[in-house]
Amino acid sequence: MDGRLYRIQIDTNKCTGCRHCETACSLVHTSGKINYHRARIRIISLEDRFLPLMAGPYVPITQECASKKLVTINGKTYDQCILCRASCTNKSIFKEPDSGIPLKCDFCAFRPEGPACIEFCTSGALSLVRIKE
Amino acid sequence: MFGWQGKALRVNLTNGLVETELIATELLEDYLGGCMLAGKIAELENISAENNKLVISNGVLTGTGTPGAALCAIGAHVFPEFFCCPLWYHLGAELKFCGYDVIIIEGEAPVWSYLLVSDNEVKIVSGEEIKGLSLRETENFIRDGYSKWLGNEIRILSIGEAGEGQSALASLVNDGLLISHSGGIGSVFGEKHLKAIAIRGTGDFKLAHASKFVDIITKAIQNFRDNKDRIYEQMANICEELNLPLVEKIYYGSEKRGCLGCPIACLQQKQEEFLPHFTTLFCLTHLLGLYRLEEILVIYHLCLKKGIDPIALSVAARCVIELVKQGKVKETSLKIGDIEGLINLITDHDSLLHKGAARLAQEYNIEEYFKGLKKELNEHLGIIFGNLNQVNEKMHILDALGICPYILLGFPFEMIKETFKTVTGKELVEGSLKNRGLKWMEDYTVFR
Repeated sequence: MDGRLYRIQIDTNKCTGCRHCETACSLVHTSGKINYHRARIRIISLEDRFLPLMAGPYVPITQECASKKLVTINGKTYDQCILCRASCTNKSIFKEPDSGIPLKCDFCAFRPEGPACIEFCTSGALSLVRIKE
Repeated sequence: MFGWQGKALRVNLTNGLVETELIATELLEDYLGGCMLAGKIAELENISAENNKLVISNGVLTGTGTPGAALCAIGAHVFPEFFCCPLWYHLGAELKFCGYDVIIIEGEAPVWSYLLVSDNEVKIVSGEEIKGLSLRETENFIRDGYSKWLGNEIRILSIGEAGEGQSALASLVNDGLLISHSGGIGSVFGEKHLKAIAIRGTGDFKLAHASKFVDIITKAIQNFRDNKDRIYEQMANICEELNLPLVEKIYYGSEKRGCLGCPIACLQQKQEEFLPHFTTLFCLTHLLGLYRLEEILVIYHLCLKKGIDPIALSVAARCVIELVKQGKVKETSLKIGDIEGLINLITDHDSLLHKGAARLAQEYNIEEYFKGLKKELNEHLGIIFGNLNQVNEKMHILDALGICPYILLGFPFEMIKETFKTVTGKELVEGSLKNRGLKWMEDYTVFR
């Protein structure tokens, strides 16, 4: 990575649900183990598509939780909780399966090549986009 | 030991006994996995029509992230002998993360049940209400028992109406994907009153040389990206050679779906339903003479609704057509392209068609015709792999590794050998595997 700001762009139309990104993430974060439950990216299976979801910060569930609404995309209604990437107590994903420690995407900051999920994604669903010089 | 989990799960549906057994390292190293290992286990367990045990055997590389490594094999005694076929999609990886290489299912459940394997928790969940459910209803029934997050992670292998009725055409369905070429194994589920197997694993799988593995895969994927257009062009050429003009029409507006870790993603889905794979299309068009899109979709959807293997259906229907021609049967006048006649035979569970091609061939003494049909089908399907370097010789090895043969369209076999070394820490010696598991692979290529 060259020090400029990047973000991971997701194109759900291209995701084939192969979950290679989950494998890559768990491999590089767990010293050689594969376990997609330890991955900081998960593929969520929606009715008509797959949604790659990257783990955001840990959020305790409160009364004011903003993701209780219903969202309509392309005529389909989704529970916003599914689209929310917070690692929260309401979800079983984005937690270490044994210890329960919340996980968060770190952009593979320790890898000079950048995020492993993007390197393993061949469908084009994940791409790195520069947002600032 | 790297590469394998070294454990087998044995479930007895009759008395509900569940045991975990250790598998000898030598057995795993000699027979790797997939159909090769399932075949050896069948021999060791003396699997027959009487005890009819089911064996699920994982591929060595399944779930590791090696491109296309998603297969596990399922085998049982299906008339006239032990039959084994690979299962695609995500089930094999889930089994690996549960910590097992093999599942052996014995006995017969007293009431309709499904088997749940979730890490070390193994349950035989009984419920007569599961009988008669459609494939989608079965999956929803199982998933609804869990939170939306857990339900999303459970992988389900189930049977439909045909399996319940023990039809020889009964297919298995893996998360909505009809496993064509699994014809008959669904009937063994029916015999056992086993409606489904649901698997979810959260365990770790450790590689021998992980960083080297990542390097190999990264390079291979980069190479795949650079040649992507050529690979899809090659697939289009295969369809052209197979003379499948309907492929473009049928897949128009569909979305690609991939088995675990597959960059090629040759499965197609439209409106939440998988479309027929081109090998299925080949059988429906060339064997049954269905050349109109609407006709193909009607038969395919009927197969999906009832849980019937369209490839086994095509071969059995051709045998029925031959019997009609020879005047050996009077109850039907089925002929090539006769869609109404075909629908009538499919919907009548007592019809000749549901006996399956192998049994019809033996009962009516048309074994030579059946053999010829299999040979013809094999030759035509050989086109798919014909352009690939020595793929037929390596088919059984790929299967044992859990790798879909289509992956050789985009990745060299040498890369797969290297990943085997980084995953297991051992060399893959091809020569020693030559005469193992071939018997089942012959059948496998016939029905693919």
